[in-house]
This record gives sequence, C-alpha cells and structure tokens, in this order.
Amino acid sequence: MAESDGDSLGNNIADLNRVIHEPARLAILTVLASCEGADFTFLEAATGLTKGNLSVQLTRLDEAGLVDIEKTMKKNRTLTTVRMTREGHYQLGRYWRQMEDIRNAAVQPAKGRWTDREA
Amino acid sequence: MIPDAGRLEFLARHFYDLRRIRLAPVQVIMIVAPTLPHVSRSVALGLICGVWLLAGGFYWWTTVAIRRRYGWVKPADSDGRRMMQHPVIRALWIVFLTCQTILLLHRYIAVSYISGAAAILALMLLTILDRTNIPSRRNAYVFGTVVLFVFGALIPGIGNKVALFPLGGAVWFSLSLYDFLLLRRAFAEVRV
Repeated sequence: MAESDGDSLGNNIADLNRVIHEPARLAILTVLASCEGADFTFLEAATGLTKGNLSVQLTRLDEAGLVDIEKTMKKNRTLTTVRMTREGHYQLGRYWRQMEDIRNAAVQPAKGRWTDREA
Repeated sequence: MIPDAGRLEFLARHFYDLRRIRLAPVQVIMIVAPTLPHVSRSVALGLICGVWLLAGGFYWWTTVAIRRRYGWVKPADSDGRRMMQHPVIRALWIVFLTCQTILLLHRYIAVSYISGAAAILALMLLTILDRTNIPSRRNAYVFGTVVLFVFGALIPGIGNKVALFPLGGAVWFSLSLYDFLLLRRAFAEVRV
C-alpha cells in the first residue's frame, strides 16, 4: 500500500507542469487567475520581480500558451497587457490539483510507516 | 522574494476597492457641509462648481498617480456579480427597492430610513461577507458599520439628515484611508 502511494507520489511529481512549477511564474499566474487582465507595472509591483526577470518569465509563459501578451502604443509609451488564456486557467487548476494529490500521498505513507514501527 | 498566493489574489481582486481614497474630496465635503454658512444662490452655485472641479481634478490626478505607481488591473466580470448574488445582499436590495417604491407612491416618510439603512448595510456587507477579503479589512468594515448605526441612532432627532451626513462622510473617509494604507502596505511588503 505504502509502495503504491510512493509510486503515485513519484508519478505526480514527475507529471508536474515545469513551466508553472517555478515561484516567479506561479506568482504571475496567481495574479492573472484572479482578474481579467493586468498590465506590466501591476505584475511588477505585485510580484516584486525586476523588469528583466518579469519580461523573461512572461515570455516563457507566452511560449507555453498560458498567457496572452498584448502590446499597444500610447503617447510614445508601450503598454503591455497580459491575460491568462483558457489553457492557462486549465493548466493552473490541474497544477493545484496535482499539488493537493502530492500532499495527500506524502501524508499517507508517513502514517503507514508509523503504524509499521508500532507493530 | 515571491509573496504568498493569498496576498496576490487579494491585491488582484480588490485593487479597485482599495482606491476609494480618490473620492476623498466628496467625503470631506460630506463632513464639513453642515458647518458651511448660508450663502446666496449665485455664490452657492459657484462653490458647487468649484468643488466639483476640485473633486474631478483630484480623482483624475490620483487615478493617474496610482496607475503609474502600481499599474492597472481589469477585474474579472464574475467577481462583481459574485457578491451581488449573495442572499443577504439580495434581500437588502429588495428591501431598499420596496421602500423606494412605497416612498414614490405614498410619500410615507418612515420607510426612507429603512431604505437608507438597507442600502448602507448592503454596501458594507459587500466587503464584510466577501471571503476573498483579508480578515482585518472585513473587521474594519464591521467596525465602520457598527459606528455608523450606533452613533447614527444616538444623534438627536433621527430625522435630522444633516447630522447623519458628516457621520457617514467620516466613516466613508476613514475606511477609504484604511483601504489605501492597506494597499500601500501590501505592495511595500512585496518589495521588502
């Protein structure tokens, strides 16, 4: 039983979306999941990331199809608006479900080991 | 340092609510209005125009300043509807609309207080019952509601709307100021 839980834990960890499973990108996606869209300045202020780092992480998320980046010009300034795609919402939901499964699987074998030792 | 998910969700969902300080001139006018001396109609008209210009200018300036500093968020459509569909808030709006209808048809003055109380309570409960708000903000709004209703009831002559006006303005201003300080603190903690 504990072995199968261990397998499931291993499979779940291996199956995690690596693009989402990175603190900076997860923070960006958490913000975008709570609203319709946000601009670059808000994401920068809310996540505490530097402009360069934020730009790199957004490009990664855009390449993975999780966010949609729109750039417009206003008074000679570029306004960057970021929205989460349908795929992004789906993948983030799936990621949190997997994390919950990993947490549950990690707690169950520990209980099993305790019982084995007692026995 | 990456902030926790709860704080990020709170900032994204309530960014617009936390900027009510932009209406500070209107709130201050509510507080000082009863103390203003009686003036002639033309002077009053000039004062009103000046105050509206000032309020509009302040609103525009703070909107631009906050946008430059903290950016911009488009709130989710479902977020606005979510709290309006809460059974308690729906019931209060029904009370408000019923009272307004009675008032319109019969001019029965007592219902205007019930409708006013229902509208204020519904507006305050929008924040208090919203579980996506942080507990301290919900508590602040509970405190504001208690102050409004307890002190409002203590004001001699409940029909004296002029006396209730500054109290409402003071509570509204205090909560807006609290919200703005909360917004600043939430962003400042991210930067630490």
